[in-house]
Amino acid sequence: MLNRAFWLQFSTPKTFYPVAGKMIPVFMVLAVLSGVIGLYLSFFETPRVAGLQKEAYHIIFVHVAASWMSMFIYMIMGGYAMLGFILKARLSGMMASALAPTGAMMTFIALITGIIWGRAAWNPNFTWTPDPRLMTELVLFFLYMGFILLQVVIDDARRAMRAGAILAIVGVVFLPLIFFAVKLPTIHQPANIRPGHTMPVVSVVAMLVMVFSFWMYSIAASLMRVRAIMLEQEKRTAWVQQLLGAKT
Amino acid sequence: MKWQSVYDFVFMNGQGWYVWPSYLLVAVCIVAEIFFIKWRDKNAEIKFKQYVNLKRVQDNESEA
Repeated sequence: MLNRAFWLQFSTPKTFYPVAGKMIPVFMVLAVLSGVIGLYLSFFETPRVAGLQKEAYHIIFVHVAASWMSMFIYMIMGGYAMLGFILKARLSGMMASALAPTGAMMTFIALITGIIWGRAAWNPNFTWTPDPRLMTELVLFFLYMGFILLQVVIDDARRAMRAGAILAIVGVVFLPLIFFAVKLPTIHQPANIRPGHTMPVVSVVAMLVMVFSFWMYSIAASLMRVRAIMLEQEKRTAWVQQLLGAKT
Repeated sequence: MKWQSVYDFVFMNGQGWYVWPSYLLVAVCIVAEIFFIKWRDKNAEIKFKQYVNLKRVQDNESEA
């Protein structure tokens, strides 16, 4: 059963559409459950923090999860875009298009929560400075927006995918710079999860549970969006006409 | 329990002004994203119906 032919059958929109429909509730339930557990741990089980950070450190549980997701999603989007570009696989292109808005949203959340946290922890007069970590994350947001705009302004889906794929692949080269920007001279604090970190175990667990929740949500949202994209792009095909014809 | 009271939990030593808007932002973004996906899904069905109707009209015209 687990041979190449078995997996290849899910590489077409026709077969993937119902499978995605069945997977969405599973990922959504996992996202909600882990989100509730993560919020409980982060608000009620983590210790109080004195000093510079104070209670504003609670922002970490959404800020870090969104930051990680912004980079992970771009990496996966770049992978799908590359597959779509090289193999001309329609589903890969659709998946890349479906991931982009969720990735842009995660980057937006990471940027805004970062600004709020920066004001609380570093300086009440904190303003946007040419800091490597902040600027690289902002560039990532522009890369996402560029990819989305290319999908919107180019009518032909295949041409839009090819143009978007080139931008996505170029952007993937930029990802290590964002990831390692915390090691450059920056006002941003060092990475929290690193050898010798001083975070309490319960805080690390709460953060990882929230990251898991964001993962599950991102997968569910992308699957929901890819189903809509399939209907848009495949409306001339027999399977969509059969599917929506039966509905109407 | 690390919080002394509900007020302490909400106010968070004056840091609640930073913490709660951050969580509100995440909630608003997630709700908005799901709303737009549902809207796009509905829109795809509407566009499909328009496409089918247009095709039907074109077929009738070509037959006539």
